[in-house]
Amino acid sequence: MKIPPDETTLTLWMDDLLEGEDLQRMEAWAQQHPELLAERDAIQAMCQDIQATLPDSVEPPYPDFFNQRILTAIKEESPAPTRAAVKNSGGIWRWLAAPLAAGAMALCFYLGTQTSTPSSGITDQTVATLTPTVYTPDIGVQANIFVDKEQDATVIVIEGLQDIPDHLEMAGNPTVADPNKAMVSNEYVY
Amino acid sequence: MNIFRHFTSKGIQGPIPSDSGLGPAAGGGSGKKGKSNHSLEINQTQNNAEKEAAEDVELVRKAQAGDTRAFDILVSKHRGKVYAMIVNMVKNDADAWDLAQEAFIKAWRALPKFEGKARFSTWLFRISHNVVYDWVRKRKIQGDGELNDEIFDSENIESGAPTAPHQSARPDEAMERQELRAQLKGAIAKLSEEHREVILLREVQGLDYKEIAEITSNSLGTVMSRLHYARKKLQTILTTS
Repeated sequence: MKIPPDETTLTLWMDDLLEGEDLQRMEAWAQQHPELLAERDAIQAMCQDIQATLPDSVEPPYPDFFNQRILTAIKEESPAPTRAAVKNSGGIWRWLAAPLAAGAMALCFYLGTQTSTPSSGITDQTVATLTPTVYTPDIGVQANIFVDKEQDATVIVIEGLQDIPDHLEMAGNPTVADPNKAMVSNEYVY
Repeated sequence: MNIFRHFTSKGIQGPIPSDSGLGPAAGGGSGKKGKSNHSLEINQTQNNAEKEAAEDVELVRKAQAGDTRAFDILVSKHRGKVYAMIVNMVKNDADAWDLAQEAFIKAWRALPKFEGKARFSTWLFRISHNVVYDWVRKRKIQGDGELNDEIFDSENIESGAPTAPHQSARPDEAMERQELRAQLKGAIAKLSEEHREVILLREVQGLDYKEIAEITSNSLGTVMSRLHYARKKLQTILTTS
C-alpha cells in the first residue's frame, strides 16, 4: 500500500472488521508505521473501558411518574390515527375537504354573529370540573385533593407519611415557637 | 459483554447491502471478536434480542391501533436506553428527564408513520437525536449564538448518579471503576456534539455503523470518518488530562 489508508479503512481496521486483501494491505502499511499499531491498541483499550464502564441503560428517576406523565400527555391529545386510516385518507374526501372546510367556517361565522358572548362563569365551571391528580412515589402514601371554589382554596391531604425522626436535622434549622402560627403559615403552602 | 451487543445488533439488522461498497463488515458488527468460542452464549443472546424485537413489533402494532397500554410497555422497555443516551448528551438529569419524555411523546405522534423497516429502538434513537439537537439549537439561540458553557462543563457531571445500576464489587474496585467512569464521562463531555453522539451510539449503545447512519441522517462514510476522528480526539483528551 503506497497511498495512506482513509478513515473508513482505519475505522474498520481498529474495529477488527477488515478482511481479505484490504486487511493484508492495511497490515503491511501498519508494519511500516508502528505508531498506527500503538494508536490502534490505545483506542481499542479505551473503547473497552467505555463499554465496560458506562451503562447502555439507565433508569430515569421516578420511572413510574415518568411513564405516567407520558400517558397523561398522549391521552390529552387526540388518539393517534391508525396506519390504515392514514393510508386510506385520500380519495374523494381529499377533494371535498377544502370546500367543506370553507362552508363549515362560513356557517360557524354566521352562527357566531347570531349568538351572544358566553359568560365567563362557564369557563370557570369547566375548569373547576377538572379533577387534578397528585402523584405520590411511595405506594403507601395517599394524596387527596379538596377544592372549595367558594373559598377559593385547594387543600391537599397526604396520608401514610412516616414520622420524621427527632434526630433528623432539617436544612435551615426551622424553629417553631408557636404551633398555631405554624399551622397558619402552612395554609399558604397550598 | 460488548461482543454480545455487536452480535445482537448485527443479528437483527441483517447483512449490509453489497452496494454500500464497504463489504459485509460495514455493518460494524464484531469481526475478529465474533470468532471467539462463545457461540452458545452468543446464540442465546441473539435469540433473546430477536424475541425482544418480535415483542416490540407486536406492541407497536397494538400501539398503532391506539392501545396506550401497549405503548406504556414500550416506554418501560426502552426508557433506560433513551434516558442514558440523552443524559450523556445533555449532561443534566432534569433536562434529560424532560427530553426523554418528549421523545416518547413524539414517538407516539409519529407511530402511524413507523413501518418497521428499522428496529423500534433505532427509530426511537432517531427521534431522541432530533429532540436533543432541537434542544441544543434552542439553547444556543438563547445564548445569543454562543455555546452555553454549562452544557459542556465536565464539572457538572455527577460521577455517582443515584440512578446508576448497583454493581457489587470490592470497594477498591468500585472506587477505581467510579473514577474511571468519571474520567471517561468528563472526556466524552468535552467532545463536540457530533463526536460525542457517535461515540455514545457506537461504544455505549453498541450500534453498528448503518444504524448510526440512520439515526444521524448521515452516510456510512461520514459516520465511519466521524467515529475515527472522535476516537482520536477522545484519546487525546484522556491522555492530556
